Amino acid sequence: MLDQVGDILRSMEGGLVEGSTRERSGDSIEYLKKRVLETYQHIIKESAKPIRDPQKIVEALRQRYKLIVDERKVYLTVAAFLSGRPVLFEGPPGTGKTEIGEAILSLWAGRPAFVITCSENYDEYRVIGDFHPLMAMRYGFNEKSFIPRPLLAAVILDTGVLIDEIRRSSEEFQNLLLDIIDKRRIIVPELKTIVRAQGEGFQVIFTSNPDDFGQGELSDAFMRRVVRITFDYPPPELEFEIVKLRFDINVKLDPALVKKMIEVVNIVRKTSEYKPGPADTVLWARLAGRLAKLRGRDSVAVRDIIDAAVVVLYKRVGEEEVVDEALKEAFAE
Amino acid sequence: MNRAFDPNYYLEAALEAARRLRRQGLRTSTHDVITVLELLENYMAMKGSELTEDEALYIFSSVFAKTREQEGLVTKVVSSILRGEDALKGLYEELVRVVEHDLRVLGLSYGQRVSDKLLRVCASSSEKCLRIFRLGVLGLLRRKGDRFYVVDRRNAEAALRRLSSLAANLLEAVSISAAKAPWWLLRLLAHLDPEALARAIDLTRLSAEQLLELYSSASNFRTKRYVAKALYDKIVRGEHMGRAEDVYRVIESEGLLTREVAEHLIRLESSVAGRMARNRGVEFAIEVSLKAFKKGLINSKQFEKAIADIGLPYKAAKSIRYLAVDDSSIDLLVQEIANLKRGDKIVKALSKLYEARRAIDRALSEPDPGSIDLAYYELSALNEIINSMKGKETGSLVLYERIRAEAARLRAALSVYGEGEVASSFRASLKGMADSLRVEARLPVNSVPLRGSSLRRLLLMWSLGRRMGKSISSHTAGKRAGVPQGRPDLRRTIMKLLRFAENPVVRRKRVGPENIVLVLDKSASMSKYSTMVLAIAAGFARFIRRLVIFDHEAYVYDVRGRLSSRDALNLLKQLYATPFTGWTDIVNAVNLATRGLSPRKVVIVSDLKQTVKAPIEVGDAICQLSSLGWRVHIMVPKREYSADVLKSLRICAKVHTVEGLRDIKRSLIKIIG
Repeated sequence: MLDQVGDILRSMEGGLVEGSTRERSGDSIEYLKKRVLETYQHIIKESAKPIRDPQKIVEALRQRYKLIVDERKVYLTVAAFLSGRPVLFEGPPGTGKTEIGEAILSLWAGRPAFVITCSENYDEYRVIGDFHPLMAMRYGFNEKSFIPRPLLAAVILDTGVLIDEIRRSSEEFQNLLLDIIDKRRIIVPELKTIVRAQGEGFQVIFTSNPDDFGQGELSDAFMRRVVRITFDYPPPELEFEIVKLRFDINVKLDPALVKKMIEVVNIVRKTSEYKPGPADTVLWARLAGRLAKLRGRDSVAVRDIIDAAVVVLYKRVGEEEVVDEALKEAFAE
Repeated sequence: MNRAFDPNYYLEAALEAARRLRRQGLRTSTHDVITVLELLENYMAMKGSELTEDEALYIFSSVFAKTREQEGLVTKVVSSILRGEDALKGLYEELVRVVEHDLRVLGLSYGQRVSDKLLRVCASSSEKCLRIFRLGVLGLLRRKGDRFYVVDRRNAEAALRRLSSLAANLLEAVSISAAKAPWWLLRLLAHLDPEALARAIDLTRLSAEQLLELYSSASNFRTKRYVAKALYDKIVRGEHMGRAEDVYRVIESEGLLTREVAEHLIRLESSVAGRMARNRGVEFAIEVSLKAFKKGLINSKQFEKAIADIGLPYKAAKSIRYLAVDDSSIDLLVQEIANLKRGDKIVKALSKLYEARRAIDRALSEPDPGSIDLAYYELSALNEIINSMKGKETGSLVLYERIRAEAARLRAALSVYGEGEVASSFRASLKGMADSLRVEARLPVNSVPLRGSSLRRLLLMWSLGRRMGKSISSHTAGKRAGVPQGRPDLRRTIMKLLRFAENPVVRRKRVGPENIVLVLDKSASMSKYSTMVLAIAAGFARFIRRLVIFDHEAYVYDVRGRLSSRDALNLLKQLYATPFTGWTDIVNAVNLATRGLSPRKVVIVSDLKQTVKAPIEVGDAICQLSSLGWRVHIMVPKREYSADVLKSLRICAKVHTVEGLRDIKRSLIKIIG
């Protein structure tokens, strides 16, 4: 560490004087691979056979992940993967972009995908790798002190990466990613190493919600490189299916009540600033189910649904009335 | 319609779609065309069956539409292309059949002249007029002098073949003809009723110029209205690009002007604002211009021109942007500014506010001494104007109050100009530290609450250190303007006196706080106080001349010049990962710390437990320093306080016992301040 302090001071204007020598070791890529395998053992442990047939992916999404996905979306995503292009899932919150993206990537690669949730100050050190200060002090700045981060690990392990909320990241970061995805390789200048993707498992899906607050713009260069797939609120029948599939509480939920809940959600989507997605509807149903169970009933009553609505749908101050009215309209009798 | 994958067909379709969409303002590239083809091929290969039109549309839209708003347009264009090819199968036969039927009904034949009587029919919306129009559209009418003729059979067949071979539908042919022969076609069209016009041509395909031509030729007020509505829709779709003044005239006269359309027109031609001010009032024009400016639809030059056309002092109007808290307050301010007269004092204040704001923006983005001085100058000029208006008739009380508040805000912004960047990078650095701590550091502070509190301490110390540095600099800087202080510079004084100067010139003392020597103990016995040591280091980071970190060995780092913020932060980050291990040799560290430097302040952070055999006692070593003119400050953790050791030291050094953040802060103020 003290060498590093020396380095810092030496690199300063008019800085000073203490010396250090660094040793460089041999085959850095092999060593990096070893480090990645050590660090991300769980990925290897959870490996399974990759599924690359879109029809099978759709089935697996439904059965394993309980996700109902439009077949065309899966086909187009896989087509984009085969063309070597990243995919951008765009749509309002709660429509399952992240969950579906992660699931598709995991099925495609046969290994759990990495998820990188973007924020403004993300840079290459967060996603590619950086140096462990103590190790660097002992071994110098080489592969021994290098800590591989998710993107580099994904390239080495040949698995997918979901980059969530890409619009929240800086333009610099987006450009960095584009270069990596375009050429399917990562340069680590500090180690004088280029790591190339070996198989087809390394794919990237971005998600974004342009209508949310605090979102940045995506450049033309970025948009040109990605295949954009839009997500929207499902029609009521499909939403009913989704709730039915994902409702996992051991109590009875009357289909008529579910339809009314969806009716309420649709009214709130039209009238309120906070637009609940299907994920909110599912959560609402689950909460209502839990409440019913806690209250010792074996079926969900209107009271449970109204109580749960307060938690799920009251998201913005001043919009409670909108929700109340929608509830009143749907559950008046 | 299902279709097997035919690369040539889809290549043509994709190219045509890209071309048309580009014409509509989308940025479609060859790269997009290639992507579409690749995706279509892969999609088909996986699906193993024919591609439905819906699926093809979905793929086209995924590539060509870059935003949700563009999806509709892409779908419309692509579907017209994909459907068009089938619809046009056998178009030639169909066209020949229709043309011959039209000629029969009109009593005409190939090569015959069209009588004037027949042309006059077009004053009404009769069936015959539509047939004449159709012949014109298909390029079967030729003009010779003032007369029209039907082309001969050979030419007619050639024209019809050409049309049918075009991979486009009939409306496309109409728009091509319309673009080629606007004068007669549009005038013909202008005589139609809106219903007939709608049947004959899709107005969305016409350009704004063509619509204007159509509008001016139309005699029927319903047709005018219909065309004006089409023009309005074109603007709303963002497809309109020229002749904004004429378009405004049409839209305004039909009563279709909305704020959105007005903003768009101002964007195209800022002089529209002047016309708007005359028709709708100054307030409306300013408000629309301002909103367009705020949304970034127009740049400052366009805004300047718009405001000049409205007839207002530009800078005054522009500064409203800075005063408005939200959109609703713009209305009030616009109203106020519209009622101002040119001579009002508040106009001058508004202009100055604008200049001050620009100067401060520049100073904050490029903080060099010149820009900062200019910002201060502009701000003080603004304050002077504000003070001169106090209690007098200003023209608008609302604006006066807003300007005062804004001036105060600007002053505050300027006074912390240096801290913005540093603070954010420091925060980022602290985040990094937190991560390092959690994952890597072997410090005894790896529990979450402890980490949080230590980081808070570091942050506070850092800001305190900075603030103190700043106050000292400004304090010393203030003396520049007053009576000169310091040792007289005889040479320069005499030179200046020779030039009849009044005051002697003095050697200037370096502005800013004194730099210190910081001696940090990183031995094992201090490991309990590692966070405290780092908090102290963070506080002193800006003032370090020499840094000594020691256990049984001492590491000496000299700093020439002052540490930049980034260097200081990096240094702290590295210190944070320092393992606190080893024996303690204070005597050696103190000797090394002072070697080769002129006497100044030295701050020793240690528990003073010498565990290595030394030639002299710790107390003696420190007292020796003091006798050489060094001002020694010792910071000892409170729990390690040993009355015996410190008793002797108190004579030669100032001892600060520290435990919490408050102690460190107090000591820091005492040592630096």
